Amino acid sequence: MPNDNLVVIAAMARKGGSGKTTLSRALISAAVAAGRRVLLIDTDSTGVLGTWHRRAEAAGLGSPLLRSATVETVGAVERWIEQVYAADSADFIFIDTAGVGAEWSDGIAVLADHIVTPVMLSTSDIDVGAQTADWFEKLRARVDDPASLPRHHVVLNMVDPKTTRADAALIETAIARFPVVETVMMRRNVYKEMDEKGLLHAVALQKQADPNPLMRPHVRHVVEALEEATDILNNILAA
Amino acid sequence: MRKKIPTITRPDPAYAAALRPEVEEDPGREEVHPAEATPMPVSVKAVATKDDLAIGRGAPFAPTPQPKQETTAGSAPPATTSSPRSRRIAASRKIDIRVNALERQEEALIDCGVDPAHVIRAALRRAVKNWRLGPDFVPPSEEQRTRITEWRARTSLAVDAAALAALLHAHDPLDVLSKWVLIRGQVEPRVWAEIDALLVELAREEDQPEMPTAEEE
Repeated sequence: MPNDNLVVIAAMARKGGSGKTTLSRALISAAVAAGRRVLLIDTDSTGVLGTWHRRAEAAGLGSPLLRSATVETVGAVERWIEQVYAADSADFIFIDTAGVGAEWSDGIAVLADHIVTPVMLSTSDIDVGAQTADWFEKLRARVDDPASLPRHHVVLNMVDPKTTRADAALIETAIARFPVVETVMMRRNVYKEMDEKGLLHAVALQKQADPNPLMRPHVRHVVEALEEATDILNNILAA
Repeated sequence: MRKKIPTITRPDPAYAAALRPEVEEDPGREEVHPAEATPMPVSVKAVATKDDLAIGRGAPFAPTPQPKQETTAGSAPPATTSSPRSRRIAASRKIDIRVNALERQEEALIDCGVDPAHVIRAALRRAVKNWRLGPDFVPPSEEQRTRITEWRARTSLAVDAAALAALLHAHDPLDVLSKWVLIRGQVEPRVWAEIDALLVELAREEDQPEMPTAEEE
């Protein structure tokens, strides 16, 4: 039976280094932690997300619920989505893309249900984020059925826990310019650990079972990050 | 079908322009590869599938993606076919051309007040702006060209490769004539007509009384 509840989320931005892959890892962690079956599709030529999945599997910090595919054409992405849909082999598909504006961006955008763009809190990053938002707005005028286009969401990324007045002003600017997700993604060291090791909940379980009792309190940081990612995912799905 | 996938009706101008110059507006900027320039009647239209849209290729300075095999953990790659998406590849070929005015236009060109070479070059630009080479051969006109070679506009002109191939196939199958000979019958009359039009415009401007200055008012 086809899975009519399949959700395809594409992380897209017209800039590299904005945090697409980190956001993808966090959202994938949240979905898997909630018991959902996930296929991650890495379309970035650097293959960072696919490599991360293999690293996580090798370290035992992956999940049987998570599979990955590395593709390099829009047609292959479409085939994967159709195959997963028809075979009901996943509940979520996360597509990570390269941080550039290119001809293929349109092709990926029309396949997704949600497009999520991470934007860091700086004037330049907000300007580039605006380019992504403009591209998506203009895409509405370039398709035959704009109602079938995905929803666009902007996630404010790497937000410092101690928000300055300048940060607050940038957040206001971002809210005025983008469809910003209510929950922001904080700057967290645990994301480095997630990158190095694997899925957030698997990292949390590992810390919890650590023979060194001094390490166990560190679970809290991982759980906070996971809760944050779950909030972001829920906000995206609720929109 | 999981959901209705909207059809992209036109490319993103911000990026399509960087990827592929618009040949209709600027025919002098594209060239075909030597293999494409082979004088054979070929279609200029090519069909590209979604598979041709390689991901990771940014405009204009992104690195070329390395060939990578599709991989997955736990399942075979799907074999569903995708619908083709057409993308026009405008093949063109640059031809060295030499255009000059007609002998009958000499006097007016000298008297028009503008460098005749500039008039001829401007006329050439106008003549080829929206012009496309037709596949039918037009014999060059017998009209007498001016002997003043200093006025001659010598440049290269991008023409439709398929139309040129058709011309070659029909009129120069051994590819011994110059390409200019094949197309000048189509180009020259347009240039001469534009020279006439420019001369009329210049004469009209000269006849118009000068605008009175504020002091004269």
